[in-house]
This record gives sequence, structure tokens and C-alpha cells, in this order.
Amino acid sequence: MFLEFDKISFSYPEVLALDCISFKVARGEIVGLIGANGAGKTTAILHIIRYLNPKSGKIRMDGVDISKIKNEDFPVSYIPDTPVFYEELTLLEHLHFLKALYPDNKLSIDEIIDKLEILDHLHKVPSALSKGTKQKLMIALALLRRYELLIADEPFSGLDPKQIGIFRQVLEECRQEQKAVLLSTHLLDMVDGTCDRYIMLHRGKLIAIGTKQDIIQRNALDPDSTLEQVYLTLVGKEI
Amino acid sequence: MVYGAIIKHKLRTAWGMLKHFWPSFLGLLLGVAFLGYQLFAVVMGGGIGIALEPHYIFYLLCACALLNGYRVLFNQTPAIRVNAATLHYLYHTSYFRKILLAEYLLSMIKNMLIAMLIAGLISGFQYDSLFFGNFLLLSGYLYSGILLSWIRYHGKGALRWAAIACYFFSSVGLFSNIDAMRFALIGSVTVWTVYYVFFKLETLNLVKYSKDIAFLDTTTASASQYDMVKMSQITAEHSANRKRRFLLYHMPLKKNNAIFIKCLIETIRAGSRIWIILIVFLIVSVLIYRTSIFVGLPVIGDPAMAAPLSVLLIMLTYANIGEILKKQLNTLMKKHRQGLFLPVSHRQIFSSYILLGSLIYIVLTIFVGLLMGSKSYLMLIFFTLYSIVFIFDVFIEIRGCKFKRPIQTVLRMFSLILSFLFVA
Repeated sequence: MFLEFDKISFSYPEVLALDCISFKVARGEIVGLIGANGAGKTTAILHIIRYLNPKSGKIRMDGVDISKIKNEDFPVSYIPDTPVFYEELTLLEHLHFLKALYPDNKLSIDEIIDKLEILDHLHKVPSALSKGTKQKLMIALALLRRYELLIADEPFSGLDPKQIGIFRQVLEECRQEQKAVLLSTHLLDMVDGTCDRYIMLHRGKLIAIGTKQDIIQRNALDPDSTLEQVYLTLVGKEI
Repeated sequence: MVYGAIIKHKLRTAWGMLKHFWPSFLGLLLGVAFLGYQLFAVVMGGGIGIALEPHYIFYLLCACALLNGYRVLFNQTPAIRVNAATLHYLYHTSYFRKILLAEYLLSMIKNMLIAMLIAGLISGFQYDSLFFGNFLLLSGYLYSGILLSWIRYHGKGALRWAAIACYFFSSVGLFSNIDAMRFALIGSVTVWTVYYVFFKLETLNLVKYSKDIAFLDTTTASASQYDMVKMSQITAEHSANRKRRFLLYHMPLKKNNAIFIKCLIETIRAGSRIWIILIVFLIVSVLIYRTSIFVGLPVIGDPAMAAPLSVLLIMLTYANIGEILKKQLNTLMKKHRQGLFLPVSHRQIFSSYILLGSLIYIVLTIFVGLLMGSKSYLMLIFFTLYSIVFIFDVFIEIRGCKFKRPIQTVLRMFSLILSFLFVA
């Protein structure tokens, strides 16, 4: 397994955000980290990118404790839920900036422009971009980094159906390149069918893990249930 | 390319700000130049080569202590700031540590320049051992203020308290008359903070830091692009989402004190900006009346106008506090009329607001009286009469009256006349 999230607990001053959560993500696998707002998804991600330190438990990548990995060797690319840009640099300048940081990434700037269809916006600053194009720029910048694990927090926000299709294609290419992908979202219909496995969180607790069929069988649910129906049933809400 | 892009971004932001706000910057520059000149003319009245008089040295040291006090005890924004995008894109690279070090050094240089200016003022710009001693001490003191603020920002528990204790230690050193003690206290705090920040502070509070710098960046970028709507919207959202530390249920709430406590909390939450403005009013009024710093300026520098202008500013402070309280009272009464059930009488609401107002005014009167060097029995008379005016004003507000405006105007005039007791 590439990523091991092992018995992680974390609490904010007034709330237990993660309660002894464990899961694994393999290379070439797309895993959905799903749950309602406040379930603990972003807190889990902040641990993986080392913005937070767990109160207990360990996170390992290829068997190595992530706190021992040097910053420049840290193999994670992260797309946050809120886009982060240099507001006075153009889209093209952002791409060149990331390329200068990671010159050994085989993906060229031209390829990424083609792949994400952002040619018309190259000379615009972020404030002049639509929400969807900003999100595409975030994806482009994440792909230009050196990474073995791609983490995306609410990546579908602002994307139109065509852009969602492009992003799914990007995820598929990550799978083929044997990269691990962790998608965090509360828009369950968006990831239904996209991910190989799902990690379901609810109020800091792990309520289910596995493929959709596994979860359905284990909990004796209707085989035709959508992911959203599965989740809502598990958290005990009427559909 | 990497550093070039960051510098390009900074320059474009600065240019955008300059392009859209140049009249404000020009006004600020002229104001600073004038005040600087006046300061030199007053403080360095003896001319270059003559050391400063002891009471002016004391004032300068007080200014340094206040600056560091603000940084260490109150400042909620990070003392060392990188761009949010720099944190996001460079944190997992070797560049981030270098950029952070560059920011530490830049901050050190800024503080050394301020220290050089103050040390120069103290020694009369004679580059002797007195100058170099003061320069070293003040550099250490001011820079340690930045680093202590940085430690407090990222630290928690004992570390925060250690940072605050260090501020008090170094401030004791700053005012000490014994050179060895000054060097020992300020020196040890500076060495500890530099060592801690450069070698031990490995775990930054990145979640808090990234949120804060993202907000600062967005407002700066909106200002630079002259998107004032976005700027005010972001600021309002940020203010609304601000975590409140002082909460109603933390207080010993009872039916008979609930309105008083609500009023107290709302007054505290009126916003730091309004309190800072009121403090500035008071400081300027004291400077006008008790120093010759504005001499040479039309009206404000005229000695005959010093007393009227000074009391006018003092009264502005008093009146604004009254308005803050009355605004809250009006909101409460409006909601009451719209159907909010209050299990207390109008009399109790009235007395709660009067009590809080009187407490604020008694503290303010003592403070202003001390600063203005006013006579204590006159302050007592002022406080008694002003309290009556305030009670009457609130009474009119709560009861409503056909002649509310004219009566309030008369009350304002009477308050202004009363305030001359400060300078009598």
C-alpha cells in the first residue's frame, strides 16, 4: 500500500475531528473520501499534507513515516477546496512558475494547456477567470508538480459537465501512471462510479470502507442503491 | 524564475496600490514628513550633537514598549508574512525555508533601521558609544518583539505565556538605569527568541497561518485591482466569522444583570477600529494641549486654540462612546417593539445602560484627567455633571420626545462647555 493512515485521532478545542481513523490507498487506485460537511475529510487531508500533526497514530507512505520525509521529497500534490493563486500573475505565468519548481515533471506546459483546454485564458489574471477555469488552473498546477499521490478536496466545485469529463480523464491517466488519488467530496453523485473504493466518514468516525458493492453487501442494502442512498442509510437518515 | 515570479507579483501588487491610492499615499507621506519635521524641531531642539533631554528619551522608550506590547500581546495577524500561494506551492520544496529566512532577515533590517533612528535621536546623532549601545539594545528589543509575536502566533499553552513573559522581561530591561541589567535582560531575550525561531520553531500552525495570509492576500489583491466591493465583502465575511473569545455564557448571568452583560459584550465587540480611533483622538488632544509638536501649523498649532481643540477632541471621544451605547439601546428597543419578549422592565434596561456608561466614563475621566494634568476636584465635578447629562440623554432616547434633537443639541453644547474643566 502506498498511503497508510493508521489509527489517527485528532481533536480541535471543542470537537473530536478524527476518531482513530485507519485506511490505506494503493498506487493506481482512486479512492473517494466522502462525508457530509464536518465529517473530518479536510482534517484527514490536512494530516496527509502535514499541515496538522496527529494526536495519536501514524501516517506512512511506502512504509516511511511522513514526518521523516524531507520537504523536497514529499510526493503529494494537493488541490485545496479554495483556489490559491498569485493574484497578479497570469495563468501562463503560474504554469511557468510551477514548471520552474518541478522541471523534471515530464508533462509540458503545452500538453497541460491542451489537456485542460485553457488556451483562451493564458494571459488573464485569476480574478478575471470563471470559477470553473480557476478550478482547472488549480488542477493544471497540481499536475505540474512531482507527486505519487494526488489529493483533491471538493474538485468538482464550479466545473461544468464538460470540465468534469476532462477531470475524470485526468484521474484515469493518473491511474494508468500508477499514481494514487484521494478525492474528497460531499457531492456523492459526482464520485459514484469514478472511484475504486470509498472511505465514508461521519462526525470524525469511519462508518464504512470498501468498494460500493462491498459496502452494500456488508450492510445488506438494496443492490441498486446510489452512493448517496448508501451513505445516508449508514448515517441513519431517511432517504 | 521562482524568486523572479514572487518578486514580480509583489511589484505588480505594489504598483496597483500606488496607481489607485496615490492621493492617500501622498497625504500620508506629507503627514509623516510634517510630523517628522516637527518631532525633530521639538525633540532635537538643542540641535544635532546635543543628547536628548531625559523626559524625551523616556517618551521614545515608552513608544518602543507600546509598539512591542501591541505586537506581542494584541496583534492577531502574523508578524512574518509570505504569500498564501507561496505557502501552498512552495511549502513542500526547499524554497520555502529560504523565503521564510529572507522574511526574518528583512524584518530584522526594518527593525534595525527604526532602532538606528531612535538611537540617533537619543544621542543627538553623535556616533559614539552611547549611540552604538542604544542601537544594539533597541535593535534587539524591537526585533525580539517581532519574533515573540511570531512565537505567540504559532505557539500554544506554556509557549505563549513564555513569549508574553519575555516581553515583560525585555521591557524591564529597556527602562532599567543599570547598563548591565539592560544588556542582560534584552540580550538574553533576543538570543533566546532568535535561537528558538531559527532553530526550534519547526512546527508552524499552518492551518491558522494559511487562512490568515489567504485573507490578507485577497484583501490586498482586491485593493490593488481596485475591486472595493470584493474587498469590503471579504472583510465583512472575515469579521463575521471571527472567533469571539468573550461570550455571554462565560459570565455569571442572572436575570437582573443579563442586559448589563449583553451591553458590555456588545461594547467590547464594537470593533477594534473604533476604539483605536477614539484613543488617537485622546492622544492628539493631549499632544495639542501639552506639547508644542504642532507649532507652525495653522489653527492646530496656534497656542490660543490649543485648549478649545483639545477639549473638542476629548468630547468627541465621550460623545462617540455615548453613541455606541445608545445605538445598542435603540436596537434592543426596536426589537422589543417588533415583538422580542424581554422579561425585564424598561427601568432595568435603562439602569443597565446607565451603569455601564458611568463605569466607562469614570475610567475615561481618570485617564484623561491624568494625561491632561487636570485638577482632581474639577474632574469629580465634570464626571458628576457629565453623568447627569448622559442619564438625561439616554432617558430621552428610551422615552422618545418631540424635541429630542434640539434637546440633544443643547446637551452637546453643555457637555462641550463642561469639558473645559479639563483645562481649567
